[in-house]
Amino acid sequence: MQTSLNYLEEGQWGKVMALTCQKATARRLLELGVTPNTRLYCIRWAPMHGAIEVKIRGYLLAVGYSDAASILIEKEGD
Amino acid sequence: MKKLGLVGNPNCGKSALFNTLTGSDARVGNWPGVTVERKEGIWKKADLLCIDLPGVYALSPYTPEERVAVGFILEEVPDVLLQVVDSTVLERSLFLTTQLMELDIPLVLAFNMMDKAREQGINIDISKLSKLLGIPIVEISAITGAGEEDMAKSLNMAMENGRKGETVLQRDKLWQRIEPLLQPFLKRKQGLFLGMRWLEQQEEIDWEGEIAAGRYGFSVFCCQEVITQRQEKKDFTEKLDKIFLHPFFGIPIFLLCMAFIFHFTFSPSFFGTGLPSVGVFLKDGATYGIEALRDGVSYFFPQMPYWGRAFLLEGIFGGVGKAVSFLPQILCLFFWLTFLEDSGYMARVAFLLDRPMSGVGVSGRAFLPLLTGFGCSVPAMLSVRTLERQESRRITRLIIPFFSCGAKLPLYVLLVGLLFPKNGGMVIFSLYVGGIIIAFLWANFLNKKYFCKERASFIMEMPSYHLPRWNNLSRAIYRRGKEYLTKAATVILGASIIIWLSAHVTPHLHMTMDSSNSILAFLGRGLNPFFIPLGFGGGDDGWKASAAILSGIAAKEAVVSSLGVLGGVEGLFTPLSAVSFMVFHLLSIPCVAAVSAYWYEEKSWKNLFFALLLWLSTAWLASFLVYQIGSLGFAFFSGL
Repeated sequence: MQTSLNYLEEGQWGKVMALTCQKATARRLLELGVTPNTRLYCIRWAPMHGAIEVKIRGYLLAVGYSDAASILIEKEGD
Repeated sequence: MKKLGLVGNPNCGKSALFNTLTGSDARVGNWPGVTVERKEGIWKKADLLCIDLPGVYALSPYTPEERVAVGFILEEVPDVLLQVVDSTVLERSLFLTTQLMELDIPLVLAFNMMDKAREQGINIDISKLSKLLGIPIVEISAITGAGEEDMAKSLNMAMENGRKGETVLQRDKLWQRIEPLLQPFLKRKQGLFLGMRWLEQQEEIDWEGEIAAGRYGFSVFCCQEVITQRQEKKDFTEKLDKIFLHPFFGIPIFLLCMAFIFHFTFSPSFFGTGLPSVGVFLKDGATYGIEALRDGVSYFFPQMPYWGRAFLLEGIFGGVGKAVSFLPQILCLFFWLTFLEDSGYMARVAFLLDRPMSGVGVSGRAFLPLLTGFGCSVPAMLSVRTLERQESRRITRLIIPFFSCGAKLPLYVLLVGLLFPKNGGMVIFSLYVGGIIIAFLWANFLNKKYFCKERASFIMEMPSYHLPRWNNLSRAIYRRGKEYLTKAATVILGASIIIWLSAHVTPHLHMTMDSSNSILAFLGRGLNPFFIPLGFGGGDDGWKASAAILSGIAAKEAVVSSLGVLGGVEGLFTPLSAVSFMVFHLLSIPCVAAVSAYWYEEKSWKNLFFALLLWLSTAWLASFLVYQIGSLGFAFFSGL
């Protein structure tokens, strides 16, 4: 099921499908390895669903709520 | 001398390596983006001029720190490049390598933190990777300097062999489509690199996404070939994060940490034991030392001429000495902030606070620049560059001065010690918190009114935790102390001399004992109407407060030294007017150095004028409200 990163819950795996954010933000995400078909794992959400911390390509990346909304993913196991 | 460019991802240990090789003391932290400008130093053993560039994830010049790195490489063309690689994140680091390989500049990779990678169960076959990439690789330790000889040897070899750029995309099916497009570039110098950059900037087709995917594809391939990973075990970082990033306790833990730091630095009774806290103890020691020195000087030189003696005791000891006596407390506060940053905890706080901060239009990433502002506004203004959006950068620079810098601290300690001996720590803490609240109110207002309506962007790597290194901490403290003392010997000394002279010379240029006839008194009285509504500046001696606050424009410590030169603060303030004075001091125009840093970053007279007006009016209004509401409250309660 295609959804966006801000619907990924703690302990779930997902796969990046597309980036729909502004060009500058998309570039930064691509550089950091958030490219289509990459798997990522949600470690936790900050209090009040602020930012999400994911494990991607073997390191930890924090992404703000509005940025997460622009990363389309497919949840695994659905 | 040949030039070596140090490149690498943010937080990969590049600056630490630079410091080890060149014996310099550049700032190192455990936060992505500590280095925002290039730094140079000589690596004696290899006879190379080292240039430490800002950490970048890629060489596409979109953020200011990337522009510094790319600009250096293309314009100055170093003789050789050294990419420092954090071995625990090989897959991401190789992305930058695939771009560096496209340059016609010899390249060597230095694998740092191999021990940590092994601890995490990651084993890298370096010689195999070196063959796959066609680039020499050495294993090093940025902190101890192990592997320095190997590195020097490899760099020299690489320079002898030279290098022609090549791209990993040649092995990708993408190459058939992009090769024809690159043809016009290939004959030029750095042609391949420039061609790829040009392609990535084309808007019609999303080459950028495809090229990034191709590069990462190669990186994944390499990692599969050379990494043998044992069972992935939960490391230290993940365990600690369970506590520090806890959904309920995360923010309270942070607040407790800050409360502890303030208690440790300012409390006259450490945890209610009646013994002074470490900060207060050190400050008392320094004050005692400076007084002893002053008494010694006046004892051993009894036959000094009268004016010389007065100048030395009031002007130098009263002014500069006073400012220096607060140094231990400033270093104490700074020690803990550096400790938390170096451990990797501060990046977590940014993560925790992103929601409340982005609500007012400031990205969680702005947390470190703002926190740096507690030390000094100047580096804070510079580190704002690492933020992604222009609007975020503008807002953050405007609110930095409201984060009370170390130089503003001496005045609080002085006044609080005299007027609030019991709960001084609380008063100071409230001032700091008040500054933060006003900063966020402004940010919220500016964001809604003038800038964008979106929430600020927050994308940030979470570094691993590590125990802060003593070496690094002591360097930071030493650098800080040196800066303060240098300032004391120059700006504060100058300001003290000017204040002393103008307090002892009449407008008719005669020396006078009675400073109320002096030039300074004359000037101060001129400013009084502006300050009287704020509760200070009135009365016979009110001009002293006005003159002192004015001298804060040279340096914030100068307010204390001026008050010292003018005979101390006894009887100058009531508790309420002291609070109003401190509020004005906290919020008003920062010192010249910070204002020039603001100008240097914004390069716009219009913005500068707006900023000065914003700071001054905020300070005046806040002090006015504090004093007037406070007076009304007193009148009301005493009438009951």
